Amino acid sequence: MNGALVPGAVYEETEEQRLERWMDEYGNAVLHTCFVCLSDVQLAEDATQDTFVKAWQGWGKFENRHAGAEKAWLLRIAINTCRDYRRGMWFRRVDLPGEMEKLPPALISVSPRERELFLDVLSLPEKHRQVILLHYYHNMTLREMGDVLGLTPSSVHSRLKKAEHMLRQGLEGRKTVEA
Amino acid sequence: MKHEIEIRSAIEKNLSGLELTAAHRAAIREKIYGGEKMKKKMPVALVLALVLALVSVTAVAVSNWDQVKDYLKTVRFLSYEAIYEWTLDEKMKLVDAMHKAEFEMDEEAYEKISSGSLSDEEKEAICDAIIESRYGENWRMNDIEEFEWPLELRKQSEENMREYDMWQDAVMDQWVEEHPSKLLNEEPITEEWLMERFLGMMTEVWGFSLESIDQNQIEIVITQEICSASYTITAENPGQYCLSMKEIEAGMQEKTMMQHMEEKQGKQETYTFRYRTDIYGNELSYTTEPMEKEMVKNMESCLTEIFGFQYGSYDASLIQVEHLKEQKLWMASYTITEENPGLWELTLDEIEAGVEPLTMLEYKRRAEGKKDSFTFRCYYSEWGDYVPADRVGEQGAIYTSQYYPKVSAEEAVDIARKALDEKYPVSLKELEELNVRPGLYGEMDGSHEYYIEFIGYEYSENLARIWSYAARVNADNGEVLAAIKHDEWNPLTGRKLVEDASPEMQQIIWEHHMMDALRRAAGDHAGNGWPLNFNEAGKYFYDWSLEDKAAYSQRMKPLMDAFLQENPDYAELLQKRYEEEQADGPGYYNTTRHAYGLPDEKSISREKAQEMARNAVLEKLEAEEKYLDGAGKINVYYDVTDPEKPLWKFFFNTINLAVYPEDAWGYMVYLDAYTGEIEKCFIRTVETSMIDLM
Repeated sequence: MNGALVPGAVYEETEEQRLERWMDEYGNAVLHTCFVCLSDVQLAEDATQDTFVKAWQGWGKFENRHAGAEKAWLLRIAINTCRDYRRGMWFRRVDLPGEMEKLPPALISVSPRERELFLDVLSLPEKHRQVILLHYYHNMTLREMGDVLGLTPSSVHSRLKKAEHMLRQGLEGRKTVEA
Repeated sequence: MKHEIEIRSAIEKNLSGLELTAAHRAAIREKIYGGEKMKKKMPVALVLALVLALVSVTAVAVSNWDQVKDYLKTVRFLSYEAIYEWTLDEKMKLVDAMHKAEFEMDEEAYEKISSGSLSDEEKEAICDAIIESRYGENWRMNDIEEFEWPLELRKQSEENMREYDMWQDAVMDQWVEEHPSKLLNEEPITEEWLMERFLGMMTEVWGFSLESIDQNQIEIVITQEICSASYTITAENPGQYCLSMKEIEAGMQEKTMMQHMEEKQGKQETYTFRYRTDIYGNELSYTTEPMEKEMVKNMESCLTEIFGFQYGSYDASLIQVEHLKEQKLWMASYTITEENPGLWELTLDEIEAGVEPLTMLEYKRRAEGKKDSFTFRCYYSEWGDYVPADRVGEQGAIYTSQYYPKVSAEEAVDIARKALDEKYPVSLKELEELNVRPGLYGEMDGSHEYYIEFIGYEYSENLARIWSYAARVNADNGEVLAAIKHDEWNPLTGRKLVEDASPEMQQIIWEHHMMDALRRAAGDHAGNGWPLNFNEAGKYFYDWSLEDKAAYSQRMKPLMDAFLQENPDYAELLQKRYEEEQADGPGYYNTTRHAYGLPDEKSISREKAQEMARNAVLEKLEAEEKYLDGAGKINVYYDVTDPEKPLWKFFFNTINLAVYPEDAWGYMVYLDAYTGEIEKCFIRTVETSMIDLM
């Protein structure tokens, strides 16, 4: 199903069709976002389910219904849902490498360097992890990221720069080894 | 850019197996259509606790900002983790900071933990109770930032934003310190590992079936420098066993590290697949460029990423590339000769201190006042892999330019002055009063020349003008090669506007969430201030409703006009740029060049006006109907700059459709709002100013 909505056009999409389209178009994006936020496959799957349920329930309140905004809206719900989940995780430490092992096998070969880099991303403080994911993985602009995170674009920018700086430390370290 | 790709690729690859399965989808449908309540993983008690925690987060009193601010300055250097992860020592420091900030607390308890008579457990219990008194009973769950920096507080003022930025800086410093690179302790790879990885590449990426691979033909080489696995097939149509080369090149190449060679022998073709890593299993890059060209790029990235050159500050045409066939290496080098090269790039001290021991650098210091030479070099293998200089095995014997000019710098300056005096209406005396900057440069053909620059500055209240006269003089015979004049305005303007803007203007800008544009302009060229601003709903100015535009215009335009009147040089510069270069000013300047209002009873309706505008685009601008109807957006303005003759303005934005240079970026139409007469109608091009599109 083609998800590119044209502003102003009239759609006759049923609720069921919409849900199916969301799952087709954004299912993996939401699931991946939840995993990066929670670093736990099981919780990420649960949070993904909750995200779609909340989105389905909240569709009536969502006014800015163009294609780009729809994804941002779903990711915002996902991130807020993960925040709620995370609050319940205070009692345990996350075993990142262990959780990585639980991920289904990658479809594309992952080098040790990429694995370490991904672990670095997951080790970032939550807010920095979110911007890295939104920018690098979801290809979002500062404004779109601001929509998702409820921040001004300049705050997002500053957060992104810091996150990149943090990751660069790891990258540079590896570069030395590479040589 | 390289890091961006690496980060993106790492996330993509690691998550590539995690998919929303049919079971997940069924579970979602079940939750929605089955009508069951959302199943929470957390027990009810915990959910209740969360609600309380949320209440407590928002309940942190910010009654005395100065008091809190001092407290935050101290605690931002403590842990950024959720408080349950804090050590006793960190908690004690937090409690101390609370006490110092005179937050309400049980004084008796605080004195007890300071007395040293309690056990660690007892101290921790008291600390926990004090922390809880500020952050509520579920204080463990959050980090301090989540309690003390709610979004509303951050957005309250610029000062808060700054404080919050400092907070984030401190967090980052801590994180960086705590996260050294993890790969340093990785074990070198094994042959089995490489074989497994290579088979994975062949089947998952290059489309081989496992059965079709003759594993005995896979060649594995592991050395300290490079590890590679390769496989060659020769067949009439290798694409029957794997993806065809066309397919690989069309889409898969970026994701793979494959080196292929295609060789046609009669009807047979040969494909060679190779996968390379370093000794730790890090994939090595794959290049398709001819090596000469690739080496220039490599050198450029060494210059910028390792030696600290600014982009564009070096002349890439001076990079020399050499193929060292015996050593099976490629070498690139770049030499600069300056009085103090470190002024432009990293200083020698910095480089020697270990910025990058991986590349080779030769440094020749000359007598005081003479030019020094830096030669930067880098080596790559014939496969395009970076080779550290200390592994090249070459001792000394590094080329360095040791040129001594026949014409002295003083003589060259005199020659330049005379040449400029002859060419331009500038006297020798005037030139003498300017700052002189002589530079000596070597050319690829072995010749050398001076570039002598006479620089003048002129400052007014808001602007800085910089101009210079320059001459190129042959350093061997004193011949004048060129005489040039530069004149440019330097931007104090954007910054000046930010500093001088009245509190009222600042407030309006702030309310409209335009600070991003303002900051950018402050740190940047006046003309580069991003012309698009955001309002509360996150929309660009041109997407705002007519009501929003009118409200903003009514408040902001008079203030901006007054500011420009008080700062005529600023106004003049922007006007000049607009007229001569069609360049835009900062967003808050562009958005106040016209007054916006709302249609009155005499105005034709918006719908009618838009229809007329559309017809004008089709008829007068000969736009194709299909193309016009594909416009991504139609922006509308009601311009009341001349209240007697208001205008409807419509911009049909077709930039989303423009593929070829001749494709229109959009169509703009101005109509008389009362009569509907077309006042102006034009196609937007790359040169059209934003002001004309508003």
